[in-house]
Amino acid sequence: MNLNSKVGLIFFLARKGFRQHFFASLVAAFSIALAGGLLLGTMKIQKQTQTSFNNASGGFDAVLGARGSKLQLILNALFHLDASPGNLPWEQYELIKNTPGVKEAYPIAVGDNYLGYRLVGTDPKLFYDHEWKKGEKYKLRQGRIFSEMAKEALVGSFVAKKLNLKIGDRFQPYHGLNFKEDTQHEDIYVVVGLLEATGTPSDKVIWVPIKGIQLMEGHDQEMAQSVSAVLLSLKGAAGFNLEIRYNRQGNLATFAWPVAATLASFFDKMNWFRGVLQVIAYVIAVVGVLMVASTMHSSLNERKRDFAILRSLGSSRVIVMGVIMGHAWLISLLGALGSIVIMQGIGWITQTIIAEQTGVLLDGMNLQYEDLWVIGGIILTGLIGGLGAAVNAYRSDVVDNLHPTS
Amino acid sequence: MKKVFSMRDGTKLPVVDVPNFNLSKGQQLAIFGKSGSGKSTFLNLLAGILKANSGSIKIDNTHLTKLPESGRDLMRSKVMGYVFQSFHLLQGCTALENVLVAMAVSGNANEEKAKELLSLVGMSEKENSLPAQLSIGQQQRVGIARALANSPKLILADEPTGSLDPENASRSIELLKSLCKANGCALIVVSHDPNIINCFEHAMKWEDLNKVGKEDK
Repeated sequence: MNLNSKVGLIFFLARKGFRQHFFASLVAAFSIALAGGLLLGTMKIQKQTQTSFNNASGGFDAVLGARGSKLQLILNALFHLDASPGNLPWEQYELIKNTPGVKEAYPIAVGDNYLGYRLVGTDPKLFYDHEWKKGEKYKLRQGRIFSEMAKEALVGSFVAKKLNLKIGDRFQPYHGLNFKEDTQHEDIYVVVGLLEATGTPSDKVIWVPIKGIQLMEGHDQEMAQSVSAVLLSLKGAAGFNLEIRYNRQGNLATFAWPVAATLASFFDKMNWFRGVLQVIAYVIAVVGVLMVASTMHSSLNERKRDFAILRSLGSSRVIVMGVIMGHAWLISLLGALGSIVIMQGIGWITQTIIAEQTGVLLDGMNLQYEDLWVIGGIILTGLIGGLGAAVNAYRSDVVDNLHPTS
Repeated sequence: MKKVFSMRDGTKLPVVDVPNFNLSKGQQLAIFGKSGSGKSTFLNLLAGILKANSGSIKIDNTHLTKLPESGRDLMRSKVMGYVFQSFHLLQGCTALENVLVAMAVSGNANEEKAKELLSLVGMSEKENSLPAQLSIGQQQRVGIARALANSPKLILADEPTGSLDPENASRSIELLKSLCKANGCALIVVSHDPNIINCFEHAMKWEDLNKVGKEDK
């Protein structure tokens, strides 16, 4: 460090002050880190959850299902959450499949589970033809895709890991979307394939032929002729036309389109939660400012004599003030770095919880350009905490602090 | 040169009234007098830490009293050295760093020179020790090395032996005198200890120099 420059001298003495008041400085830095980490974390979770949910819609533009809420339909058919709003006659699937503008249509049937993980019946073509993300088709980690008419299962990566399912394993599904021990079906399924992870809700599903769900022992006859929903990829203006046909003129089915807009309205409803977290972050930030102020104040009281010595050596008041601000800056910098670590920690916990609950894998919480404003704000917050003590140091009387006198 | 302090109750307290005071280049002078009689205030006025109410101070052809605070700070860092009774070392800094900081204040930090100064006062082996790890006599020697850090033209020593036993006091004063002589810098030592006078060729009583209260009598 170049002690001959004023900045060099200021930071040399600030570093010494930090070391002398190490514990108090560390606590102040932690308060700032906590506030910053929470603020950065909530901002990023909100943004990345929305982006990840949009990306996790499995490459589908719309869902056709029973009359009801669009959001419920999307959550049930694409995210495998929530209850099914009801069934559609098989003819509705045939009808929309052959509608101009419909690029792909896959029927799904739900209603059974294995140890809490959903069985979703569908057409095996989904795994041969469909791109769940642009340019990405489903890949097999092991085995093969199920046959259309066999009691075979293709297991998502998350389920395979959790239930330790392997090729050749046999299982008997349970009735309903939630696991109840006394509702086991008699049908026996064989695991024939394991899917590679996609970071989408399909990882949390056991895929079986649609006929398997429709004709499962114990299901009523009506179910054999119906589907829970139809997953759709569209081209051109088909979305507008189908919206009008199903939602405004018809009353047989609900056409949930566009998926992203419906999800956005869902996240808008969750904004209050983000607001609460942000208020908490601001409260912690105020505590952080007070902690820095308190640390600087107690440090100033102990160092008044040091500052008087510096002044007697010829240091200007500005250097003495700079030493306090330099100390506050070191605390703030440590706080800012800590906030990035805490943000990553919050991100990791959130990522784990969301992946466990929904199968949606959030992207890593990398810093972006706009985050620099928040980091700058964190440093500024710490500096504000040091300002009062710095002004006091500037005003402090050399003679009063150089006792004794003769 | 006069200095009057304003008290909280509005009364005025004259502390220093020195009509005339001269010190030649390289001269060494002891000023002795009672505690609390204004000797430290006099040194603080000479150092430019305090500003006189009237009169002028000229050091090394510069009118200290005409300079703004920043100018006085700069002059103090470049032309003067200060030695205190309780040494006033920076507690978080080692012996070497204490000397280096004094140099850095005037923009002349030089580690070799700082080590050389510590060697002159016999503190080479303790250069990396913190003040708390040093004896009182050792701390005072570091204080002397620090005062010489910027090759000053004047050293002001305020009760430099006040915390030392007679043996260490005598050694410190001799060290200070010899180093000032070797560096060609003037020295003013103020003390309430009449024994100090025996160590100096030139000594004067503070009461003879300071005229405060004399008119009333």
